[in-house]
Amino acid sequence: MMRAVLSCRESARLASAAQNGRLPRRLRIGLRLHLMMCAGCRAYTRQIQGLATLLRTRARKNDGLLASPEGLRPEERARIRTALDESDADGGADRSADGGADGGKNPGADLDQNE
Amino acid sequence: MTTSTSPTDRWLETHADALFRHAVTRLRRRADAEDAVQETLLAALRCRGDFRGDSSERTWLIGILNHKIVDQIRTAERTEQNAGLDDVDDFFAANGRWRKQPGKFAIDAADLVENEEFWRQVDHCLDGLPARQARAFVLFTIEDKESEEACKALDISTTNLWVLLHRARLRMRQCLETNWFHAGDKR
Repeated sequence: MMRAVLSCRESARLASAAQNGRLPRRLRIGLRLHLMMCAGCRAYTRQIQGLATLLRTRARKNDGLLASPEGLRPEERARIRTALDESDADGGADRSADGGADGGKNPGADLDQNE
Repeated sequence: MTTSTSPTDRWLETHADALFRHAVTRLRRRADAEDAVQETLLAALRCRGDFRGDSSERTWLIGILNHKIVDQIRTAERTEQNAGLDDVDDFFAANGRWRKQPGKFAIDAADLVENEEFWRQVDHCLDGLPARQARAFVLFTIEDKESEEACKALDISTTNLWVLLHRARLRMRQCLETNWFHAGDKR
């Protein structure tokens, strides 16, 4: 049911779908015909492919990261620590009996002494 | 009582920053990344007996984190509105043509992969997208498509994801054209 000529709008959608790896042959041919006639869509298709390749290459070379985001801020770290300490003191899994005996009342106490 | 090497202390010291950077790259919002790291360390604390030592501790934690990231994205996908999903009218006129044709430039990995200024610009463009578009774009693009994590993320709703990816690509390309490739042009 495909029209003979795709619009740029449709072509861009197909170019994107093709990147997701599932374009049926019929649509692939339609896209190719449009790209032969349309410089704008040719540029678009190459640029989004180039961008994807670039992001993947960067992530592979940069420890799975793109830019270098700021690490944990002190208050963020403190919140995580509190959550972990509470969970640990709740007598989670394999803590020895006396470790969990004082319950969650003051979970950070003995850890704080080690800092 | 507690020995000086509680896993909590050690993980916070050794891995928390790296886990956070990994998470914020994919989730885009600091609060979401903080939650994911916290969930990861809580899970790791519960299952630390499962750590086999045949991968590094970092790899093990990143593996858990990737699952938490996918969980977060799934939850967000279920709760955030999908209104106007098909709307790419900013880019195309009623007759289906580009409102503004993509300019001629090449995105070349060799030139740009180590250019930190470029990556700051990419980050800036990502932050300009709706968060769900940015997350879908980053996760789908940088994770190996065959990986379990990426496939699970796809299962959220494939159609929905494709629309997000389509819009994200249109916007990212446009943003980079304006702010990087043709930044010096006045036209």
